[in-house]
Amino acid sequence: MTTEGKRIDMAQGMDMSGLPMAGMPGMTAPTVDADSIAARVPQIARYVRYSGWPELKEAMVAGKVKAAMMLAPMVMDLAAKGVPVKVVALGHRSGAVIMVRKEAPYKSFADLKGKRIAIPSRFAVDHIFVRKLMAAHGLKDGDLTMVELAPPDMPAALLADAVDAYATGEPFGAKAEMDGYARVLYMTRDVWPTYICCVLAVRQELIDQQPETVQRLVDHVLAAGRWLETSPEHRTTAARIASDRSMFNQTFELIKWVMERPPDRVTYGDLRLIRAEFDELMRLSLDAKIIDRPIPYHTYVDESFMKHAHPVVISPPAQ
Amino acid sequence: MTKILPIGVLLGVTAVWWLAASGSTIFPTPPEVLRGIAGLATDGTLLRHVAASLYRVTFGYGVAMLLALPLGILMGWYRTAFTAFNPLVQMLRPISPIAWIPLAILWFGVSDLSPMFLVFLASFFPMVLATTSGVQLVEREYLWAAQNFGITGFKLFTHVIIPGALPTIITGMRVGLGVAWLVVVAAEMVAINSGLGFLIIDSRNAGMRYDLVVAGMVMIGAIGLLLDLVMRRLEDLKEVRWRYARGR
Repeated sequence: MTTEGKRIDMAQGMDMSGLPMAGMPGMTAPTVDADSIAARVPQIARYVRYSGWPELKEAMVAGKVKAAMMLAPMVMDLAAKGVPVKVVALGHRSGAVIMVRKEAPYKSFADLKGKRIAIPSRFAVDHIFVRKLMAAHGLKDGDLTMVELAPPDMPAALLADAVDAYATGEPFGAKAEMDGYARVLYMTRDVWPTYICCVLAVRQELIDQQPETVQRLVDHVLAAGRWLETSPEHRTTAARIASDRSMFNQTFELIKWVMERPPDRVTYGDLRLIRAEFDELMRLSLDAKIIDRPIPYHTYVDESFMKHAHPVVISPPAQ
Repeated sequence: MTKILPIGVLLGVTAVWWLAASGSTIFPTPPEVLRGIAGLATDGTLLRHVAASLYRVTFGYGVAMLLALPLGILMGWYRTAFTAFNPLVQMLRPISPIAWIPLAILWFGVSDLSPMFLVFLASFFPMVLATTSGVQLVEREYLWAAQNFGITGFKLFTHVIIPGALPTIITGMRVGLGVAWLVVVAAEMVAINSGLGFLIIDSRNAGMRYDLVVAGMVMIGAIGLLLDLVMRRLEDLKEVRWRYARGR
């Protein structure tokens, strides 16, 4: 509930005005929601979960979805190619991991030289994370074999020794860690705490026609982030809400693990849009061949909603 | 006429595609797709993708054929074999290769074997089914005639049953090959950096490269057409021709 007594969902979806908003399952985004009162109170948007990035992107490009938590470089590329979408806020920071087998001897990234590492796709931000670690540890292109795998298949691939390591967004790292056969080699929290992965992207017509809706969306995403960071109990509550079948459909224990071990595995407190960070991400995307030419910041970012943001106070229903 | 007709249909469909795609943000027009194919051809990746898919499909399909034909003949001829295996075959048949991906990774890792296994699974069952029914449908008269000539055992198989079932078996082989290509996109979700299915998945992951998605589709279609032309040559063999009431 908000202070105005209205029911609001966070981040990955909501409903009120037939405004579909999409998010990835199990991906790291702030979530404060429960379905119990969804019918009773007005919502900002309807939550739609997509099982893959391409599907989500296509729905967004086609205008079927008006707002989505999307990979930042994907939004850059779409905006540069004339699709009317803009980043209006971040979804979270950090939240990517490099996982290896528990008994594997690797101590640093350099030990992965000549090994096989799974990434979700070469267009994923996790790929940039891997490349950043490669550069930091003196590995060159060709020193690692990158295998593209759907994140849900990665734990099994590691267990079967089909790959030596994998890089992905949570909770697919925590999954293998919780099951006891894998350990974290790197977390973005340790080496790249300001890591940006998912951003809140909105279509231009929504910005033009219903700026107040976009503002509410941003206000509530910020509020959710702030709320998550104010108390460890909030993270537990969020895990319970997000584990619902209609949300992420992952077990409560798994999301709790991601939320709490450690508490800054994924962070939601600082969702500011910082130009220098986006420019760096753009440069890294260019370097990773995710995009094919430099894309100016204002092509894909609309800062106005962050500037006028007033995070609402959130008190989700007691569980 | 036989040459003009199919070309006319293809051109017509292309024209409709062109009209439908103009003004669309996602759906590319035929010239855009042609440019995409040309781009892939010049940097050498087209050949790599085609070769990788051909290799995986040929292997998966080949193994499927080697196992499906004997099993189908057994199931068609021996009632016991049919009773024993048919429920299992019918249960496994409708399962999409996508559902098998986690198991494929577990069993075969992330290598060429996983996509091959998925192609194998998809093309195996239609061929078992066609071979089984082909053998079951061999006319009684042929069997009686063979009995009168004292043909039994292995010779009965090679001289009567297999020739009698061959037209249906070949149709099953054509269907199986079609299915093998049908699942190449799903199969190459676990492929490393190559294959037409991989090209489609990869281009969808990219920002806006739907020209390459359709390029992959067109290439799979073209290869499917070529391979079917080869398979249809088999139907011209006189061992098979006898079954056809109408010429082509």
